[in-house]
Amino acid sequence: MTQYIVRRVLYMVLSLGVLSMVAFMIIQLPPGDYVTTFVHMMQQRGIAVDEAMMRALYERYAFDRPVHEQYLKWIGNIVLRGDMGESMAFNDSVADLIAERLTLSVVLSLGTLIITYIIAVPIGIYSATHPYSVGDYAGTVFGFIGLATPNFLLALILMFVTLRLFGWSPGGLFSPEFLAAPWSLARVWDLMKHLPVPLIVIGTAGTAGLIRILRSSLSDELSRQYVITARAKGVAERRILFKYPVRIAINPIISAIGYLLPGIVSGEALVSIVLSLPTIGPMLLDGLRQQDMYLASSVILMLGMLTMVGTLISDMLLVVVDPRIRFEQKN
Amino acid sequence: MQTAKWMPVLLGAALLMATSAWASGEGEDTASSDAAMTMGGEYKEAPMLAAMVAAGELPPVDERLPIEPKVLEAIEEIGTYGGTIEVFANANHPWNDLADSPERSQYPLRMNFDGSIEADQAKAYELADDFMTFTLYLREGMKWSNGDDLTAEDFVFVKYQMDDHESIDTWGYPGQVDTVTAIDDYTVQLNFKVPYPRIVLDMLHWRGSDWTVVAPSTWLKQWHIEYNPNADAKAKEEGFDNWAEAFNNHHTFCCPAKDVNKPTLHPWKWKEHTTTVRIWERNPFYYAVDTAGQQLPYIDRIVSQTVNAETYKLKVVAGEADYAGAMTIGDFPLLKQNEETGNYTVKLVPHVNGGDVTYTFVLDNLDPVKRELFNNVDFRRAMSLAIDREEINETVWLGQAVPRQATLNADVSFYKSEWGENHPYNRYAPDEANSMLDALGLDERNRDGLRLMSNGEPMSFTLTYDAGAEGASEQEILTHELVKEDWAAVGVEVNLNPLDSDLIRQVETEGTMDVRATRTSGMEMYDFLSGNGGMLGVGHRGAGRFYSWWGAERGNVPEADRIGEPPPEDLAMLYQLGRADMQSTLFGSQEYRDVRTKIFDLHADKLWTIGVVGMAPYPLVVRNNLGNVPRVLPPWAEAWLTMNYYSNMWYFK
Repeated sequence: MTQYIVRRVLYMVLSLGVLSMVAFMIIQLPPGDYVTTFVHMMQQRGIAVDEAMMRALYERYAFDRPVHEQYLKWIGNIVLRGDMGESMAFNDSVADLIAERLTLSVVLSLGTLIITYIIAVPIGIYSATHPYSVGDYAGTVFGFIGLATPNFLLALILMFVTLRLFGWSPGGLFSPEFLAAPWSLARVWDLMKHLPVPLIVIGTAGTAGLIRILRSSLSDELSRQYVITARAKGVAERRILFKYPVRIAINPIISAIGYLLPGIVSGEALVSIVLSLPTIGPMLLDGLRQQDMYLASSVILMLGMLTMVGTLISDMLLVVVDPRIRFEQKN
Repeated sequence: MQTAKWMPVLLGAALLMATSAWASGEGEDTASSDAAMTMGGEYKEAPMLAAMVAAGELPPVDERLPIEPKVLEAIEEIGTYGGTIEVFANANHPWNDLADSPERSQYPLRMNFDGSIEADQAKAYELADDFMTFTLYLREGMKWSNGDDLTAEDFVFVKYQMDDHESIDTWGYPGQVDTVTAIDDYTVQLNFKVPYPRIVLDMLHWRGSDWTVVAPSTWLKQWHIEYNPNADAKAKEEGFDNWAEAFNNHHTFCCPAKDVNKPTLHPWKWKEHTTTVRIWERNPFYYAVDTAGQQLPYIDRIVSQTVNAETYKLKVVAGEADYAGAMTIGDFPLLKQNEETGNYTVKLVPHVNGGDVTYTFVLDNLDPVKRELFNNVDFRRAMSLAIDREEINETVWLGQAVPRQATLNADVSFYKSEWGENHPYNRYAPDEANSMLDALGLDERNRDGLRLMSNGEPMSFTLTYDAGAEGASEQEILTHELVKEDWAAVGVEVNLNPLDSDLIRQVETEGTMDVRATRTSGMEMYDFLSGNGGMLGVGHRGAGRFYSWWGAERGNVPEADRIGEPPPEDLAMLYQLGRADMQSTLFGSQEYRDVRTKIFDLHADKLWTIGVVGMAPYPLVVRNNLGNVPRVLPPWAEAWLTMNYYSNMWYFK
């Protein structure tokens, strides 16, 4: 077991090294770089940047150095000092930028996750145990609508509807007075007031999907012989349901934990962009679009790392939970 | 001393009338109702600052202002202090709507609505008759936002301790500047290598700002090794490798400033910024007052949130923005519908763009057959005649733009309508276009009805437009679609080729584009050689490979880096005129207008760039109780330079 874990961790470090290179190269692939983006932005505002200024910018960002040199400097600083470099577009250290948005990303994703489970699990169980009832149909209709509606569209519609009906401020997670304020109870309350729309939007598709998965796997399980046997022996219906089939039916949800970690950090980028939420997703997109290379590479690297850690955790959990894998290891 | 009163008085008067016609209410004088008087002082200050003075945190207002502060006249009425202005920046281009410093600041000189130039931050200025020397007289007692004096040293420091230091990042002085001398504490003299009358225009905008020519030297010296022997140690203490890195970090000016404590001369100074919000607060040492002696600005605070384009519109519709201009004409109906509930007024502001959609046939195309065709003025004229501009204007631009050729905007003082609206080829005459093309030997067609070129290939071109984040608007793309149909009707096919901005820059020197779509500026002070927006396809980078020839001529590009063939003669003539314009004519003078008239006569004659529509207005949303916001654009500059220029006098009624 220990040997297995050590080997996995070693592999992980190796793949992280490769990943960091790929992440760094990806940003270099499209033509141009941040300086050309910047010059273009300036031009749009009527500011013509001449050659001398461009040269100054190239030197400032060290773009005149060879790519491998830039890469080694970047990765060296990360490994040695945890310094991910400077974002050119935001003119701030990447670590600070990520930290600024990490909390909100996690709050949003965890909130969605919890809400999704709270809504989906009971409905899924009800649908499976009462197939073709009115409640099942209602849940199914909701599920299909949720799956079929593109999230960004739902976001736009909800933003407009809540603005018209309740006068809620569209987009963002804070009122203006709390935007840059330090954390306080008032700020948390303000955040709570802005959360419903994003939570509903992000949660809908997930909830719908979860209901469908749970309903099908649970109804499969319910017709198994051990259930019939238990029922024949007179075990109470509720006890049968929760003691065995539900626990098995929930399994696929648990095994997805590997993808949960990166999802929590960067999930729902599209919705965040539409709703102008200050999370990691939109920042990554901006970074890629503006060729803000240290920002984009660092975020990609971080997401990759989280995926790997997540997979490792779920693999380890499987070893613990599933005896078959344990036996395989022993042989 | 050179003064630049050049605009016909009539035009100025017309603008002023337009301004006051908008102004709601009859400019009643609300001066000083809320202003706190300083004890026995001459000037008044904001209550927010008066409190700080009372607490001993600030010197009294009279000591903070220069001996002779700049006195500004309100365009509507004298305002009252206070309030936070809430604006939004469109995430795709977070530059507008007060969202960054160059747009809401003042500079050494300013241009008035009537086009006259006067001193602003500076007390006076002087340009020698040979255009070789420029002198700025500073205001004695004027201060940076941290209370340091603004002196001639702040200009000299940039030239010799920053520009000339390899390890310091700077944009610095224009290349034409040879020396910068402090005549005394309050007099700076710039000497040029070549005659440089444009310095007057440079001093009107960011080129005369703390981005380039001036810096808070007293404050910055603590990180400079020549003034502080311990600068390296100080840098290490702050977590930098060496003094230059620390210096750059504190000095970096742009977007946003890295050190929010960096002193400024602007009406507001940084308070804080994150990736989603930027906050500024009033600069207690701001150097200007209104005619009632109240220190400006009126508004205490700017809060600018960065949101995406759709949220931006919803925020405006919801009435959350006090001021918003980053939208296109297509948004006007939505904005108008919600005027009442949003408690704002939306007006269509005429834009100074000479051309909102213009097409340039790439003259140095690699294909010899296409090149010959594109260089034939009759071909370009025929293509112009084939465009139904009226229909495009009505269906796409809500009938609000002007069907015209690509040229200066119609309010420019030396404008000729034959350049734009009444250009002989600014008509829709498909039959005439057909016969002109036939006469060019393009009379054979293939089965699809496409004309055949001399090499037997069908006339099928690509039309390249910028599809990047700041690229073509919805209206522009729809216009391309309609032009495609119009040209197909005369047997010429174009395929739309949306490219990202970076890709365009890469291919523009390769001679592979056929037709390039751009916007063209149309302002009076249009900088011919370094203008933006493609410059009618001839200036700056829009000229593709020809640019390398001109760059080589100016010494900016090594001779060996010239690519392609030299520019054709007529284009070279245009370039020479542009050079003359830059080096020897003073903005606003008769010579200036003469040279420019020649330039645009040439443009009209050669039709290098075909215009479709221009001067399309854009919607400007202003909170109903926000006063002193100009609602007309002077013809001399781009919106970014003009609308927010007056923000130090905006106030909440």
